[in-house]
Amino acid sequence: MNNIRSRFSSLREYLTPVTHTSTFKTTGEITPEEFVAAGDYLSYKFPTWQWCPVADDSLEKTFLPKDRQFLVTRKVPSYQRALSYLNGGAEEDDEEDVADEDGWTTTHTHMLKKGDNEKEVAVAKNDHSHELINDQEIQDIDDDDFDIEPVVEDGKNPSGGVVSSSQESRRNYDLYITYSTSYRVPKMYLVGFDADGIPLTPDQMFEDISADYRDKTATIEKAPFLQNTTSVSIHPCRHATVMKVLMSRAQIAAQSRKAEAAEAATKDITQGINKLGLKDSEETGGDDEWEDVQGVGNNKEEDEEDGVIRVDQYLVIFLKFIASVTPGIYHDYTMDAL
Amino acid sequence: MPEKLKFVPFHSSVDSSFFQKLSELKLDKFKLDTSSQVILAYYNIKLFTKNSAPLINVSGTSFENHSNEFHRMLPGGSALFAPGNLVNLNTKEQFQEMDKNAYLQASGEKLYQSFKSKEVLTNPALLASLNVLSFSDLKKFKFYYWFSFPSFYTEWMINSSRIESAKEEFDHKIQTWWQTETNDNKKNFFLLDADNNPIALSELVLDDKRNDSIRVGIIDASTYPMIPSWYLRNFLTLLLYYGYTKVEVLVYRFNGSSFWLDLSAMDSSINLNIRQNVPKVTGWEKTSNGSLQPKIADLQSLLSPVSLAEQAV
Repeated sequence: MNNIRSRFSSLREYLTPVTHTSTFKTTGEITPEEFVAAGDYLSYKFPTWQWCPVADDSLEKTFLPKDRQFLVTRKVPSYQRALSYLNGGAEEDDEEDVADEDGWTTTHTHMLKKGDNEKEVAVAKNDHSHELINDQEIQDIDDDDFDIEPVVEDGKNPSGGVVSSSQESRRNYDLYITYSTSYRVPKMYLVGFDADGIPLTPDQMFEDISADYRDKTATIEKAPFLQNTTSVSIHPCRHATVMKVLMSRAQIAAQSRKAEAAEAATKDITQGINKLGLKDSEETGGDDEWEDVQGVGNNKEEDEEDGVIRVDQYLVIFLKFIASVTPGIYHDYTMDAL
Repeated sequence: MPEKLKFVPFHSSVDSSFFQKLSELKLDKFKLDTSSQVILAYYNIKLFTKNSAPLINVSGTSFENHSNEFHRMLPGGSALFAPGNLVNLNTKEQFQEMDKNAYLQASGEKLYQSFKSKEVLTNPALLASLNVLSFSDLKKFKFYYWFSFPSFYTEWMINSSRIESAKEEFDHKIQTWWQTETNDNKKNFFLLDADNNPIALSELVLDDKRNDSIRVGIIDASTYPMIPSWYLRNFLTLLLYYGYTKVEVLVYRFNGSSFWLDLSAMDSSINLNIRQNVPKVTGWEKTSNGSLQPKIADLQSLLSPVSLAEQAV
């Protein structure tokens, strides 16, 4: 049954015609060309994101350049599970409210009672005890290890011959962004590893998806651009709407900034005129200032027409959105670093 | 007061495709064969996360054993390669009873032989080599495995260290070096000329009488401040074997935190007898809680067709 469904969706992905008309201002959707431009901008600004080719020609999306099939950032740390964000999720609520205005159906958020939390925590605990059982199974190997311990001790431990980085709860994620033809938006895939570099199971990966999205938009599937890799994808059915909302918010913010700038500009002009009145000899200087101010003003207007957010900044905003879906995965750390 | 040199050990990270391929090969090719299989791993050199250990990755492609295959699936210039051996055992008992000490020592001796035969100079990637010991329970999709990164124990003191701040200049030099040195096996370990330009390791000659430092470089995969990755250890042992007791190392990082280490070999018996005796070999990977034991990957939900079908609702 599921096979049929996933085949249907890949068929749909295959059949949906690729459009090249830019509509991102009105719909929040982007064309493959815009995806490439946005990817270039992202990987330029944040070099942890890199373009990647596909291993096998059969996986290739022909409307994307060969060397720009998808974006990847590897081994992004996650120190805390999304569960621990449930109670104090002020930021998420904020996000929610805005989305609500645009008709986002939030069926789960307010229904998520304390009981659910406890259940989920219990599930997580069970997983852990399961791991402990595994450890016991190989206890004898552990004992054997003391035989090799002397060598290892000599080599590793004298006055800290190595740096130990014991961070059991740390996970690492490989994050991928591809272009979804059927929804004309970027699509996010996550592949997780535990602190020992062992692949996470889908259930474990779901622990890192915020509960609001976990049941609605997170899907388990084979990453279509990789070979034999099961991933969790964020289903892109609502991406366009959310992106539109985020962009209009950014526009409002930019407009208020513009208003401030205009006020400041008026002051400049007044000063310029004052200067003109005071010193005739510096007329040319005054003119320059005028032109300058006008130049800035014109640019601002153009920006506004462009919807404030340029299309190459699309993925940066997209990642801000994804950060609310996966609150514990620190792909934003790059932005702090720069 | 000189400080003893520390290293950040490799951490392994295994893609599920590696286990999938291993299962296939176990069924179709290896069967009961427990002889050593050649694999290829890669380590990211463009990690930017703070305090990250060097991560060695294996995937299904590792069995193809050719870096070209990886170039087709990795972002350009993001990784370097490490040769490895995989021993896949048939039962859990075999896995448990195997003499791991002897196994590691043997792979260390092999590396030591390559110092003697000078093979390592034409194939420096050997300095970062690895072993994987595994047992695959195919019915339960459970994999027991243990990585080791054979490494010689020689003792070095840090005379001084300093941060290299000319990022762009060195970025350019490394770019140029990679363009001239197209062999992936040679890209990571190099000598430096007086102008800090990398030169191939094959130029290294035996020199017992030398008083000034030899200048070398590595491209580092760790992001711990001022602490180099595990594989510098074998590089230093190689230099010691060739008679160099003073070494100036450029630990180059793409994230801009490159640094120099000015090192001297200590007058310990291990160091002095480097030509006569194989130094002690260390390198079994520790788990995240710091214990020396194998890892277990339970991948039923990732690999089993039945589980996959159940989950994909």
